[in-house]
Amino acid sequence: MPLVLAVLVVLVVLAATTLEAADRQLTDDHRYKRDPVFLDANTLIYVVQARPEQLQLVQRDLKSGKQRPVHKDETRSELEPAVSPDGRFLAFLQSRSAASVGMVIEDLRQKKTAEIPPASGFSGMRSPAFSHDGKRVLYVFAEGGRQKIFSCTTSAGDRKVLVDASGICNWPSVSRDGRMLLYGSTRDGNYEIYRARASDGSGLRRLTRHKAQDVRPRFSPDGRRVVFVSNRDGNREIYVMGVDGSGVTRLTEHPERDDYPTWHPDGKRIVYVAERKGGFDLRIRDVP
Amino acid sequence: MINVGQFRSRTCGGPSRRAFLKLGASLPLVLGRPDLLSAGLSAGESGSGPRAKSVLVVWLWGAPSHLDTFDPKPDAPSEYRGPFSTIATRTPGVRFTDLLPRIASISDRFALVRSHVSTQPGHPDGGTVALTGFHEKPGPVQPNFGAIVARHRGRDGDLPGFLSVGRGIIQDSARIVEGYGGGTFGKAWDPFQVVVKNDGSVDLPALDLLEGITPGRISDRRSLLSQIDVGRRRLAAAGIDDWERAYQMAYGLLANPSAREAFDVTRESESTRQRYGYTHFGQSALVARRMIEARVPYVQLNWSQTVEAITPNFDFGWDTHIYNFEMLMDRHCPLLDRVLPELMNDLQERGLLEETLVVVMSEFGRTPKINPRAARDHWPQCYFSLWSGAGVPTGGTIGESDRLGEHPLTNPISPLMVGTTISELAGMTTKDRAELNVLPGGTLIDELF
Repeated sequence: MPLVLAVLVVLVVLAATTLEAADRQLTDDHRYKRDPVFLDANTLIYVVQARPEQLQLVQRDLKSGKQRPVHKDETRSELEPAVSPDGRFLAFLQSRSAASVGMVIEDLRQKKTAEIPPASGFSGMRSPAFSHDGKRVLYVFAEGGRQKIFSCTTSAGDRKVLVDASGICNWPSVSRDGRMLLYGSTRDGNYEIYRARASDGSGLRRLTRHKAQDVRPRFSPDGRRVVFVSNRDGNREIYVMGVDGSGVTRLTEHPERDDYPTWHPDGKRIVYVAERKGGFDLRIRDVP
Repeated sequence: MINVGQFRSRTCGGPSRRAFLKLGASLPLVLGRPDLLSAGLSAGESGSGPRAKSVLVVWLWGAPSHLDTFDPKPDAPSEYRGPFSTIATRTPGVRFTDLLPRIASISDRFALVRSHVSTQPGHPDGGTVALTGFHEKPGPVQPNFGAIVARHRGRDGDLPGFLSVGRGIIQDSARIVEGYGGGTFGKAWDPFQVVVKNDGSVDLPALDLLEGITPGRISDRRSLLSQIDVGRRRLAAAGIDDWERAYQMAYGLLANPSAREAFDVTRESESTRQRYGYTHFGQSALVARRMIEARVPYVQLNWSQTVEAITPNFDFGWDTHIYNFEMLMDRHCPLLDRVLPELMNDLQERGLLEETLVVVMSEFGRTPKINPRAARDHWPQCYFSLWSGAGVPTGGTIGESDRLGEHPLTNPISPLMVGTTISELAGMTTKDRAELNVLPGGTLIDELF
């Protein structure tokens, strides 16, 4: 009997350990967070509400747990960071004045920046993402009531439209081999996820078909899977599916919100923002 | 510090069709014969006491899109309807967007007005109209509904009669909403400002009047009096002539432990604070609930979260000229959908909802047609409000907007009607309003009685 009990205890401990390994909390300050992205396998950049009027980019070392502002003296809000595949460039949004948001492309090696300033009046870009070779930045901008996907060079030149469809397009993501583009669009009514050729936006294929919102798609590093967010089960949760839209699997399940997933460079895990007990923290979990 | 404004105003506001139909109710006043007002015109004249011992206005500053929240138009053309799906609510035949599942699950606890009409498309002016019933110009500005109810009730205890909870006086990037306070009543009837941080800590700016005086030193009366003299001189130098009431209120709060405790959300259980959420708006709502529990007559809970911080050093509220759909989806609606049901549940579980009128409203709605920036601009021609508690009939809609959400099809409801209805439910009669010279020509939203 004592032996059986001991085995049971060991099994329980093992199960608990496994669960902990599968989903672990990375931060514990509970401040509002969003937009995590990996700079390298050990370094996260994400957005935190540093003060009521400022969203701040912070950089966190996963081994030490130490974090610091990416731009120490910046007082304007900065959000939606994106990192080029080689880690050289950081693109992000930066607030300028009332409802006026520009996009900055920072060369982390040469310590210089390029930018697309906001247009006059209320104006803003959205959702920067890098091409597979890190030479172009995709971003979203609205004109004429249509929110389109554009691209530009890392020096903010050669701006051109990549996707121009009715409704609202958002969250571009390019596969690591450079062949495919993922994005969300309302062209068929509500937010769904689509795949197209990254070169010109042609060859459109709809990957999700649900009355709920399917948003924020991101290619896995190996380009075989897509992580995305949906409220199809009542609240925001994180899902993964194949690049053809098959095999949709729910990764998170909690009465509160799980959002903003990003792949770890190893392709086996994701980091996401979990709203728990009224606070917001980063968590990391395995993707089966 | 006490925030002091300069007040100018006039009373105007052309009667709506509905107001015109009800003009008879206020005709004695128009004729200069208030004595002709007879019993039965006002619910508050029944002698049974106010249905609402307290009023809680949840002020969604910045103006939420009605189409993307409580009045979706799924069959409208794509350039109108927006990207969100709709979901069923607890109210048969009524659907919200899928951004608000928790509020949808308690829709039977409120009445939804979908036919508000205002006249001012700018935030400060529109805010004043929404909160006073009248335009700012040419002045003087009329009193906020809260000042009216507080003055009618009179002072009772050490807590103020009109509280504003959030992050200070509501303002846009240019200026404050002049209708935030006492208006023609004078600054003595301004709301007592309660500033709440996202950790729940509370700042009472009025206590700056008594700089250097802490609760622990209050027992030292000699020290207190000397400090008060300093405060009096400082106020006089600042040109604040009505310092007495502000001082009394601040002193009362400092001197009365139970009054101070009413502001202390750390007295709530951790689970309660978590349910509201550690955000400015969440913790502000918890403070507001405590104020209602303490029977403050009128609390205005201001949307207080700088939700996206896309404008430097400015609380943008629901003013989504850009990123409307992203911001509603990412931040505004999840926050509202967490806090409002929690507040309603809390009030109900504590037995407060029966005697508390809860009104969720804003200064206007947003353009049904999506703008060139794929967002929505200001739209005073049609917007929504929610009403609950104090015995108002719930689980239905009042008024209907047209197929694009551009104009009311039925029951156009003006801000003046909102103020009149709030005051009536708070126990004021037509005669009371006439005696205070407020809300002239105002009529009631009959469906709420």
